[in-house]
Amino acid sequence: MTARSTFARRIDSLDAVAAFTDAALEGADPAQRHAVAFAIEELFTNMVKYGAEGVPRIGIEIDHRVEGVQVTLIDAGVAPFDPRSAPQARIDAPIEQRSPGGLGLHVLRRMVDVLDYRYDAGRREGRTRFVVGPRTGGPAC
Amino acid sequence: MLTLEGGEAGEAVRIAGRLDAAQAPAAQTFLDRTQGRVTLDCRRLDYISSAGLGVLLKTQKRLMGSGGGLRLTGVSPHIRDIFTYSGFDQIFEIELAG
Repeated sequence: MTARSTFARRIDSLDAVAAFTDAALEGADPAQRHAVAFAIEELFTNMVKYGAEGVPRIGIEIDHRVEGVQVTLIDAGVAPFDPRSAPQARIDAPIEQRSPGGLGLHVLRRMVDVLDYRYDAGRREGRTRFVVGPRTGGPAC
Repeated sequence: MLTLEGGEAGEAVRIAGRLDAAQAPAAQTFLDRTQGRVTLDCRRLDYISSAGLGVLLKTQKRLMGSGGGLRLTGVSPHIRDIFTYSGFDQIFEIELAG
């Protein structure tokens, strides 16, 4: 079953996004739920931070199946941004050289099993899709 | 929803709920008041995002700069995974939940 909703392009939408995610993932194992929630927040937050010119609401679709959870975030009225192309964070640097920049997408890429991005230039609409498989018995990736 | 309490006279800071991008500024304000060697009791921390990681990193840098540090205790397996993926296991003392 696919759950669909849209959320205002604001950081304070995160509580509503989390509630929507929790409801859509009822029955999923805790590690899978955690990975999906993390990935959704990172992508949604990036869309809020860097897509101020976009349409007022960001769409989220969650398709929860036994074989995995597929999530699509729909961001319209924006320039393209492929999260797969973000630079790797430096996670082995000494603490004085560390910065939080890029950590979110770095961790996201470790937590999901599939990540892709499509952009419709005519509609200026980006669709970021990821899949997180069941985690029971250990990470799938 | 996020709550932080404690941290007086060497007692642990207890954090509970979701440390996400919406709650990170309040968490930073609270942790900016801590000094020395600080224990953050994470037993009731349900979730952390990269914004929360940024709060912990900034706090650790400040505390280490004055000879202190932040120790994370009661960490759940899911949050431990995020610490590992972000390399925080190299820069924090981390104690898993029992």
